[in-house]
Amino acid sequence: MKEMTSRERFIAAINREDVDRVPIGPPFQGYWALDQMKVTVPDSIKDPKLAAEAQIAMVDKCEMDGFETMWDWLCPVEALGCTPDIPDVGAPSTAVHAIQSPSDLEGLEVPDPSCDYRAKSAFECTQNLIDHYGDEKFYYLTLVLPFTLVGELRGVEALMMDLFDQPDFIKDMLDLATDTINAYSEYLLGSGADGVCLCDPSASGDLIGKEDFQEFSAPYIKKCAKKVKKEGGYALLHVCGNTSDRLDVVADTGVDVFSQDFLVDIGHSRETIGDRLAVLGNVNPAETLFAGTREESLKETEECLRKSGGKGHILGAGCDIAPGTPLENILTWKEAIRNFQMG
Amino acid sequence: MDEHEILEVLKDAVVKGDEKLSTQKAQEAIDNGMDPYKCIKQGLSEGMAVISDLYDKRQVFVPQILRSARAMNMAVDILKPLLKFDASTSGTVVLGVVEGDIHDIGKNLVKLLCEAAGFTIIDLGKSVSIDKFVEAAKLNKADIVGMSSLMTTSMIIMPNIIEAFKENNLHCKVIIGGGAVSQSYADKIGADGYADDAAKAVKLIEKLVAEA
Repeated sequence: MKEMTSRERFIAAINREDVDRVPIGPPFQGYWALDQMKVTVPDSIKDPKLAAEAQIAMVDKCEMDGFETMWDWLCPVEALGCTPDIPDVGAPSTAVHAIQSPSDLEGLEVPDPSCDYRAKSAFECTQNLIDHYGDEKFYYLTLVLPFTLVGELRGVEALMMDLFDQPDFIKDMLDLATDTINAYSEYLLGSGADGVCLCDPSASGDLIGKEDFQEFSAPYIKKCAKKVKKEGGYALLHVCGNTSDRLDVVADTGVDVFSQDFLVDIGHSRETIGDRLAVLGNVNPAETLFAGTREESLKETEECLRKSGGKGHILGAGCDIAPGTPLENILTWKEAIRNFQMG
Repeated sequence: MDEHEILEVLKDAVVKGDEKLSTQKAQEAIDNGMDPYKCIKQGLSEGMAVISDLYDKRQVFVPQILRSARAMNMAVDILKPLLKFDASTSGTVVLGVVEGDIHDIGKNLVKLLCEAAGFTIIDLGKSVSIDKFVEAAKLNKADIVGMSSLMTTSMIIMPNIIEAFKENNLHCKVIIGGGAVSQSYADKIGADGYADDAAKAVKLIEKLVAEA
């Protein structure tokens, strides 16, 4: 088969068409790459060009075909009035939750993403990366989904109790969160990125059951994915935890790609939903990539490719590549792909 | 309603997460002159054991556990003032989320289930420094120290904490949990145990305390 560009390869994999080789899509390399290049998170926000250079260095070394050009996926949390804790290394977390009671919700409005300094920085960083690679690569923006966003606004444990105590209140919060995320998608896709990787870690298969996922997460994933597509982008979805029991619900959301946790067997998901969407993943990010050896990383990556068969598969980690993960472990991906015979 | 029936209803109320029923029955138990310790141990805690087994089997999830815990805690609040002695005699467990990490739902679940099983819990909260772990283990003469990490950036601190315990001649057992870690990581860093969920963590703690 004729050699494809990274971008052609990535899009062909999304469409489950033939590829010359399996594409690499980390799916979350942003914070790791910053740390590898010794760029602090506050500096990366202040200087999007510096942030883009750090990504370029790692994307080139690892031969990533597609990658996140925005990793500050929780930025709407601050714009909605929460106090974030922005560390030097790794993802920001929420220090103070904005919604303590239903009356707090009334005062909240959908923020204008073009006035959010973190979203603006991500926008510029994306443009820098597109300027650098042009049509060569596939670019996506990582963004929080409504259920997780509500968890940040409210506190995850409070949200879990709200599921029983005040489900209507959750739905009001979810509506605000959905409008917010859709506004961010629209603004950010204006940078020229190809898609959005929508993430719902608090709707993890290890936190909530299938029924709650169906009622409180999936309908909002659907709305956000629809918006991304309306804006001409591809919709990628990442849900943490073991989602093996709800892959049908995942496929029904209409996303193009499911980025799955390492806890889901990729052979099983290819078999179950592989005719409806592409799968991304899913090398164990902590035990293998972060704490394992080069040999262990190579072996598990080869196993992952063997299980998926290669078609409709984008190779990556089962969740974010943690800062501090050895580069040589990520470098095994391109090696495994070269050695792999497509099934 | 006889004593046995009240215990059954207390248990059932916790399983269902029905705090109205659990508090009402706790009051009824007191009015009937029942032993509050028995109500906790043979009623409420039994319910918590049932729900944590269901969680283990993925038949219920975190929201259901939290709801059951609330039903239990509200009933315990009614019974507690009447306890004649401290019921927490199974052992002392220090718990904390390792420095740099604020994901504490798993740790909180372990705390709830340990309390239900009769352990004294010293909860150090989230993003706990090495010194705090050492100090708390020393001060409280901990039998077990449980530490958790969801993030790999915190998980790498765990071996330093174990090292610090050794340097301070602390002989408590150290167990780990959380999304980032695994049994093989526990083996690698010389931890005394690992559990992949809260229900198994309590069983592990019970086993380690019995062995000591």
